[in-house]
Amino acid sequence: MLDSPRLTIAARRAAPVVQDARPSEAVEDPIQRRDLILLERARDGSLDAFNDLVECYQDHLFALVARMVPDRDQASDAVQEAFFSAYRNMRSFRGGSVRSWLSRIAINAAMDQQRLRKRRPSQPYPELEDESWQPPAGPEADPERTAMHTERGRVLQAALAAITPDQRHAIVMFDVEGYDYAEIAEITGVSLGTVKSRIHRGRLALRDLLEGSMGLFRGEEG
Amino acid sequence: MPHPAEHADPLAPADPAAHATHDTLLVAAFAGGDATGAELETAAALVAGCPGCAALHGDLRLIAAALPAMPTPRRSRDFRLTAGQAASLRPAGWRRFLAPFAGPRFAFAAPLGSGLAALGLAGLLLAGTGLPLGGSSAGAVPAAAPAASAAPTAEDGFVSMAAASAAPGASAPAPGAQGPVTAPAGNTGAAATAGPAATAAPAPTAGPAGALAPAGGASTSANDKSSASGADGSPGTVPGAAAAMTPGASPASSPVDAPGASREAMRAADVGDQTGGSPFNSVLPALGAAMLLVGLALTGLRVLSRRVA
Repeated sequence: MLDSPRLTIAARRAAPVVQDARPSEAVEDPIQRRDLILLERARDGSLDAFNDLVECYQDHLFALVARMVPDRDQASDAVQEAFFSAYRNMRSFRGGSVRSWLSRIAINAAMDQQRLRKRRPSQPYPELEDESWQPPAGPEADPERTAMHTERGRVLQAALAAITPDQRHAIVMFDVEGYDYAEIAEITGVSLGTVKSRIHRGRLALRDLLEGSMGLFRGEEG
Repeated sequence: MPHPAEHADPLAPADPAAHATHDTLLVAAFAGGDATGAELETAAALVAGCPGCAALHGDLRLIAAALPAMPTPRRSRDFRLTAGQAASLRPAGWRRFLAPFAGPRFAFAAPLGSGLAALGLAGLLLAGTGLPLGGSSAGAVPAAAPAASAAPTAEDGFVSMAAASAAPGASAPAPGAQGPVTAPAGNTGAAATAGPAATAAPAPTAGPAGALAPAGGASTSANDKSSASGADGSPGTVPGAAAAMTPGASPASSPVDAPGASREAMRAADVGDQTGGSPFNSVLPALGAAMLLVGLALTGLRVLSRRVA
């Protein structure tokens, strides 16, 4: 039965349906292709397809935004608003990477949050030890090294929270998310020189704040 | 943030005590790989010669390397949309109508609309200034000069004061300009209204009655009837006669002319100049207005839909 001719024909007919899926055939990256297919379906009215996209990127977007705004609730609100905005503006997606598109929306949402709450000082960055995700320790992991790594992340997070929002956004986008200067300039709406200046000044400010803890970064006891 | 004096001598880094005066931003740019040219040399010299700058350089690189390895914050809630949220986020009513125009498929609308509006505005301005666009009136002006010189040869000193309004699109030489002009004697300054087919008469072919070739390029054709009414109210018809005169010819040819009438004639001739010409002169305003309206509509639609979206 499995080698019946009809089954072969059916299998052959099934292939074009998959290829037919979307105009994303030219995209070779399978993840990007999957994203484009999901987005196209979402555009056609499928909420499930959009929620699949949300599921794919909510962790990434939350991690991104949580480093940019000093409060987890604000970060959650910003991410939720970003997905709302993405859903509203699905038709304005101009192609390219869906991940980048969503990230840009989330960064803008985070910056809007910062602007809106600028006059209302909020709690600084929360301690992340209890809620932060840590990579599972391998058998070769040294507890001392792990503790130092955790402590390093904590002080770095605290220092990051203490610098100006503009510098923080630029550093998070450049050093953590890997955007280049031009992309950051485009997202934040400032010149390339300003982006560089913010990053360099931000790093200098971090270094001033971390002066007493630099031993953690050098692999020594702080 | 401390930003040490930038005017300190950057090439004197050997003295560690001078570190406070060194440009730390330059060192930061160097650590980030963004220093070029003279800055690169200066920063390299600072890092090489000043222990403070060297330590700063090393620390900045460590911090930059540690940033990506920061612990990843974990989300505390699910951001998937519910059906209710999705329904409330979908555009409704007129927003739904505008939504497609906000998309990338309609991105051409704003530049196209702006271009059309600009062209339309330019067309309207061009039509408003009355510039001749390939018409005949421009060419008729030089021909009017000899016509004016023929004016004093009028037999009885009578001069037909004519204000001709040329019909648009009429550009052929007027054969009727050679015809006699019959106007009542004693006509002191008349305003002649040329027929709609008044044309530019390129040649000074005024008849013995002293008809003048038009200064503004307007003359009546043989089939037209120009009516001239004198100061005494007696109407006169000037069939097929040139019915305008040059400003310069007015005082010379008609000692009895009223200056006001002459000015009126000149003004009328000017009007004839502006309106008589190529078909573009009549089409251009309508075309310009249409383009302006369409352009504004396209641009407005795009901007509004983007704003709403």
